[in-house]
Amino acid sequence: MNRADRIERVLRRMAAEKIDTLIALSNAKHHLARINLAAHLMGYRALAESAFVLRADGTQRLIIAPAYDGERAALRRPEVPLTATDDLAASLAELLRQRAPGRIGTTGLGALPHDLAVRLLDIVGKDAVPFDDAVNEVTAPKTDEELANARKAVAIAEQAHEHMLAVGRAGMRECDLAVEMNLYAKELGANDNFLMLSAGPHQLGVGASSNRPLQLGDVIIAESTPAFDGQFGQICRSAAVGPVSNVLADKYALLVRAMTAGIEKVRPGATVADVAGAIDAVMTEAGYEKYNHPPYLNRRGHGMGTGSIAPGDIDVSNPTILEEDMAFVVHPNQYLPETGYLLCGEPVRVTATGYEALSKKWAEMDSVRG
Amino acid sequence: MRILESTLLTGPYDWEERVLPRSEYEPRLERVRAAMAQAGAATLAVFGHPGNCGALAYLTNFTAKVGPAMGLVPLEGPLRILASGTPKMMDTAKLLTWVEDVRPLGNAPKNIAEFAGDGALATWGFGMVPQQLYGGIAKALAPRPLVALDRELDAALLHKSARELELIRGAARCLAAAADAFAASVRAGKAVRSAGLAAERAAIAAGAQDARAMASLSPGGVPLPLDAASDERVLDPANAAIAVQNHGYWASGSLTVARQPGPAQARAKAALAAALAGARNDARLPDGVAANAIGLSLDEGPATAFESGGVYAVTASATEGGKTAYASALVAVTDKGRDVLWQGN
Repeated sequence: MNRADRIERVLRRMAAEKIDTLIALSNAKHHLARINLAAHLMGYRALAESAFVLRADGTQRLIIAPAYDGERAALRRPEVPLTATDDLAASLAELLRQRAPGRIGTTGLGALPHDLAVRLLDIVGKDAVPFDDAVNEVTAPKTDEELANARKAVAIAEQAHEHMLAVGRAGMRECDLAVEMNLYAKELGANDNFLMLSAGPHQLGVGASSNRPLQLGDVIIAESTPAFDGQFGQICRSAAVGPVSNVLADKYALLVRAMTAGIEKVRPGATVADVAGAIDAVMTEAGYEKYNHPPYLNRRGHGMGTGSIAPGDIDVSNPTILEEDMAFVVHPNQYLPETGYLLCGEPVRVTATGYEALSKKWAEMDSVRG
Repeated sequence: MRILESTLLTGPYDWEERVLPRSEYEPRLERVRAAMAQAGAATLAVFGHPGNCGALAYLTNFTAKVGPAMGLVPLEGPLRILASGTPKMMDTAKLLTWVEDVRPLGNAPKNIAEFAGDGALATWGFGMVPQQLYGGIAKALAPRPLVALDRELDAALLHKSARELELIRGAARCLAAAADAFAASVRAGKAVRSAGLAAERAAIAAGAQDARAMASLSPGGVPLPLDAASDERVLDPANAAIAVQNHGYWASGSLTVARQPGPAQARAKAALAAALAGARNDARLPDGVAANAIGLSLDEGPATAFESGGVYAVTASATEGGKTAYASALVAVTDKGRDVLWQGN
């Protein structure tokens, strides 16, 4: 699939719902786990609030702000007509004046900052149809470009993890280790990194890095998620500060088994719930059924933005049917009473017959210098 | 200067009393509570997100590392922070602030309405609140109105205390290290993406919490986010815009690195020199020079004239033959004149 195919899917859905003009609005937040359908359709990460306008006849226009970012937008998406402006609302109003929009559908309006949203509501009118769910539903598969970028992002994540193992040591602050991993990932080509990294002897969950120094006996847990040309790719890893105890090694091996069981369910036609259920089954069989639910875990994985986060959270309550070229991370990440919270997760792509592992080396219990 | 928002902030943001003691926050709260009382509001809700957390940090030191956050300030009594994240993440979130009551944002409209009780709700920074959340809060508070106090409270941010000025001075030192690293990399023949990364690494090594470098994508172009691997280009002249943060306080500046400095660079430097020579309370900016107030936010608002007590990122630009050159400085305006905290080129 390429970007034109994605637009074609949206046009078909617009026709089915009798939408004449889609106005996809970007709040300029390009996040691993939040939807930004305008960015998903534009293939461009706007610096400020921007819009992608798609007419039923296939005509497209980017309206990007601020005006000085026009050079970057033209470089990234030379094929799409562009308006560069310092006033998104005024430029959108002008575009709609030039040609009657007919029935309008919108995405992203609720995520825009209030001051701007109020102006845009006046322009698109009260009858505009929220079209977020429809666009999200038909644009779940990644494009070839996004998949190629996801593979690069995951490769960077794996190298950044090796770097962490090399430079991490007792006495170093969590935040300094996280910043070093971010800089290293950027030097390898990443444009951003969702890096949730925390450490402690018995953690209840993963958190943003604090100023706390690493200590012998801690376990570092990290969701390492570089973005390459905007596409995030996540791996989840755990590393002891000092030697790995037998109990830590055993429990981590259990999580890896559970993750593998989940990943082996991945194929077109299977549901997200099948994947999460297979993970839960392994943990239940090992006597940890009680820990298959919050507050001991949040979810068994998730989609990877930017743009779309399909297929959503990997959870037994998610009935989404997997499609070829969906990409997501499967992570059993959870609390176990003997070890505290542990992270282990691998990203996969749904292929025609099963799955493609996007990471080269799957998680194992690692260690850094004590 | 506008930068692409990071998906998650990772630097050292925990509150350190030795850096910003409680005594620094008390007069700030007094000012805010006076404004609330004048507006007839019993509670203030202040909003912050990873891209702009200035107002929330001003009152609480809290940086929204993970996602949106709200500070709730009653006329009397302890504050509360509603932070993004699960209940398990609140212990880490509490390290970011002196406020003891930190809870998950969760159902924010319900939580805010309960905290506000029967009184009116004053707001600060609510123009940035996502529309869906804003609507939910307004509905939960109805029929009580939301009273925006941005104009009154933004003015309080402008005037920096001696301690704040010292922290901005620290940020300026990090900015100097970053700018020098960018210039040295470009002069060594490096492409702009590598030079930008060298700048960020130099700022972090100098003690910055966060550092963001942008650069032109064409010779003499506007500095823009380097968010694609293909942005690795060798340019002459190369322009950069760099922002660094130190204990919450930002410093920013733009610079031009050229093998042969041309007339545009000379004009930009001359315009900056003129602006700096005249920088004092009430002085207006000359043509070709732009400035914004800077502090806990990278941009605390555009300035057409300097005001005593403020710190400004001042940038002069000039264009010749389609190529733009920049010269900029970070200036604290005092009762006696001005103090140049950093000057590029």
